[in-house]
Amino acid sequence: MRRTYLGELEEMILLMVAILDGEAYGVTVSQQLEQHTGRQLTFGTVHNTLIRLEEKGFVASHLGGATTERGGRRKRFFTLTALGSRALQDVQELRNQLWQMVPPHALQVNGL
Amino acid sequence: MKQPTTPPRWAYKLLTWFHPDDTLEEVEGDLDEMYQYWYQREGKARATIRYVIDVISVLPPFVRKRHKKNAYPHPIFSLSMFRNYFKIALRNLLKQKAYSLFNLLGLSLGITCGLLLTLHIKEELSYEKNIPNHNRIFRVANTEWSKSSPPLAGEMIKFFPEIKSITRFASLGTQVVNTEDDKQGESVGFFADSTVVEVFDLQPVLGNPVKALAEPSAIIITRSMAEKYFGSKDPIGQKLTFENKEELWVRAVIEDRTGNTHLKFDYLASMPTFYNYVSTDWLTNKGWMFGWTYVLLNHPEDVHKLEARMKDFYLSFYAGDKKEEILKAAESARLQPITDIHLKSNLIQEVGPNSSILYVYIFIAVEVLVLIIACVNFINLFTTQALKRMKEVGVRKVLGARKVQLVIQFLGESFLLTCLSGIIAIVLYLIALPFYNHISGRQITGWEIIQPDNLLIVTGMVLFVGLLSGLFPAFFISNFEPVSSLKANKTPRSSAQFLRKGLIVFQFVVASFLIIATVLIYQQMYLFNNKQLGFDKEQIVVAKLYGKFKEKLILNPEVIQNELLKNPNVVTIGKATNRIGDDASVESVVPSPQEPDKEYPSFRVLRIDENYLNAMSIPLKAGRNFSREFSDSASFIINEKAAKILGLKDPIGATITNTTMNIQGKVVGVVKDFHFVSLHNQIEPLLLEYRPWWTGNMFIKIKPGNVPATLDFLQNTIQKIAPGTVFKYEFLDDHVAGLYKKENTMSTLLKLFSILSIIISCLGLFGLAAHTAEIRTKEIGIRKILGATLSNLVKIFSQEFILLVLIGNIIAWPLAWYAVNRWLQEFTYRIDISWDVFVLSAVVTLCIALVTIGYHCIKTALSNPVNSLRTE
Repeated sequence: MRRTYLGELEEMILLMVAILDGEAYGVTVSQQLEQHTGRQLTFGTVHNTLIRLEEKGFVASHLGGATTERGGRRKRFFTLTALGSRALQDVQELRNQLWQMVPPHALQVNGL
Repeated sequence: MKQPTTPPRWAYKLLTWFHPDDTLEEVEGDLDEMYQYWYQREGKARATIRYVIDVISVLPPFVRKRHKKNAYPHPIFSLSMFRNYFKIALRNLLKQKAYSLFNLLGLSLGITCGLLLTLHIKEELSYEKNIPNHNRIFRVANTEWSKSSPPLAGEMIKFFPEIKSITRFASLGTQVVNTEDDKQGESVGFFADSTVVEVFDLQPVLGNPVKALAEPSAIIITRSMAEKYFGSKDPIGQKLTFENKEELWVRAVIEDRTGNTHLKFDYLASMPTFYNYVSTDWLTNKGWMFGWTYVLLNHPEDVHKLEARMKDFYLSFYAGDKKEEILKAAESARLQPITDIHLKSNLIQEVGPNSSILYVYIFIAVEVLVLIIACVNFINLFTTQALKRMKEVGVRKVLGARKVQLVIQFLGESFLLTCLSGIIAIVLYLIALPFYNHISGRQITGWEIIQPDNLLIVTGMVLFVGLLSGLFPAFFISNFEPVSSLKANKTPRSSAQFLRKGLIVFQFVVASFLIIATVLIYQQMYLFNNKQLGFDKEQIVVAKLYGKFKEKLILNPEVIQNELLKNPNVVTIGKATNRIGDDASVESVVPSPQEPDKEYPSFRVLRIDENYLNAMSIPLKAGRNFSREFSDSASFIINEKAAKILGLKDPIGATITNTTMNIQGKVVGVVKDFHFVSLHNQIEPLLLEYRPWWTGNMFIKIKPGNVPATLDFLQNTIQKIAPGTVFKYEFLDDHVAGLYKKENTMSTLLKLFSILSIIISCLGLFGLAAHTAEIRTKEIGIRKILGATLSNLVKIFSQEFILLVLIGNIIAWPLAWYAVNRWLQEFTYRIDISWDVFVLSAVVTLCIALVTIGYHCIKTALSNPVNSLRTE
């Protein structure tokens, strides 16, 4: 089985892009990430990860139109590509398989 | 509705300065938005801190650069592109013929110089390296003498177990050799112990050289000497007559020795032959410096063991002498590695004149300088040329060329040029080789270049020069911004300008350094050739005496001299043991009665006849010359220096003793000091003895005019007196000049190289002037319209270059002064360095530079302003 490697942060940010569904850009991604996971990342980390995801082909980007907001500076929107969505599904599938292999009592012990 | 709040300006500036351009817009916007968000949620302070942290996180090196998507494949190595590069390179070469020619020529000259010098240095360093055991062979010498005494070798091998073998050489020099069928020639050789075969690894061809060298009256000869005298005949058992007198039998033939060595010989005569000449008590004399002793050690490191035990050896060897004296002698004992002799040894009575490591250093320095000049020149011309190709670079970039490709293109082009000039250099080298051989007195053939290590050197040099000179232009050019390079003629960036000017200055530093050095060295050589030596070296024929002629001359000097003096052009005939510059015998001379506890330095002793002083025009300061009318065998003539050292206030009539020879006698005359050795040395105390029958050289003073006829006469007369004698002669002034051969060679080579370096620098300057002229065409057009005169324009145009040349000169002055001063320390009699040489170099370089740029300067100044202003 061909597996795409996704780091934990990459997976999170890829998920955020999926959640935001077309509204994802630097600011929204970091705000969502903070809201949902409580992680405060520097902007650079988010920025770099998005670029890396794009290089790997999991997201595509385009510049939005010029607005009067933020001094007329355009936003770079990120959308999930087919490869990206496939990668997310792969990860989830793998997790499910692994979850099913865990014997129930092992989790109970751990949970106590 | 929202109050527009702005993040701190400085952080924002930081962002705009350092963040990559292609993501700047969105990141600026994003960060701004985040700032507003934080400002509203947590206030200004928190927002500012977060903003600053975020800005830092998107600055290099933290930020990730966005790579452009490459829609098309970009192969770096594509054949069709290479074909294109090659075509463009050729077109450029042909389009700018003058540039290409200068560039190629300058570089080829540089590489040729490099090649010649490398070869020269290699030759100098190659001495003795062909002897298989060269790292285990040492010469026994001391701090003053290269020779040692006869019994030393035998005692040393008994004392030191580390010595595998030891051999002695006694000088025999160049001799006239006759075979029985009356074939005649000159050959060089030594007396040597039979162990020489082992120490120097001589390869026998015929006979047994070890056995041969143990027999009396036996010699072994080299293969080439055998061919010279005997042709295809079997040489073994043949008789060879040396100097018309000594008869020796060939007992063995050895292989010729290859490679450079300080011990050159065609034959070796056996030591027992030498024993016949001297009485047995001389052979055990521990103070007689009779010849050179070479030891072969078992292991190269053993030399330290020998040195450590040298004191013990001396104590046993000289047992019976005063202990302090033995220790002093042991202190001065040296074991010279045989490979050091040629370059590092300059002792009394060396086998022959040696070179000096100093000259190797000088040549390495000159080689590096010339190569650097050539590279600098290439860089300069190549960059200038490439600046014209900004448009090409721009178009290539727009069409998708990557930086790597451009670097490869330009580097490739420069390699193409260096390879071409490498080939030209080899041709030039082959042309220059005969001249080099003539100057340095070597026989290097053109084929030597094909030897693998020499080819490696050539390739290495070409690659090095190519890389060094291509690297800068390649990176400089490929960095052009496509947009600005496509816009109209922009002047090149100031940094490049500065660099190129710097390179020009550097070239002129080297050029004027070489000029100054050349002139000063020339002056020193002039001093050597023209200093008053205290005798007249002109019109004197020096001939070596030997064989039957010598016998007759010694027996009947009057008769034979009169025979020679019949020709009115022969003025005087004098005789002496040594020629000027030869190592004269060193003996100890003291006044009698001797002052107690006073030490006297050793004297040089020359044995002469009554005519020597006249023939040489050496003036007497006091007293009289030797004469046949007195019995002068116990009379002495001394020089002024000797009189001073002996402390004789009234030297005439004083009694002195030559303790070496055990003769006591009266001083009858004092001669003015004259330079009987080369000017490297000071005048030493000299003792002249009257011993016509010991002399070995004839000094014939002749009249100027019709010299060949006089020489013919001498030759014929001598032939008549003693048939079969070769009249071997040389002129005294040539002989004296020969004493400075080492310096002469260097002076000539340096002269050549300084001329070359100036030519190369001028080529560079010419290119730069052409470029500047092109850039400033419009400026000059405008100036002309505004009324500038020709002289104004020439001044404006040339002052920049004059400044560069002057700066170069000023930097070169102290360097040249220091270097030449160091060199002059070698000589006792040396010139004073005067300031006019430095001014001269400045004037010369300036003139050359002005002439070089003059062409462009005047051409630009004369051009019609309308033409230059109309072109866009």
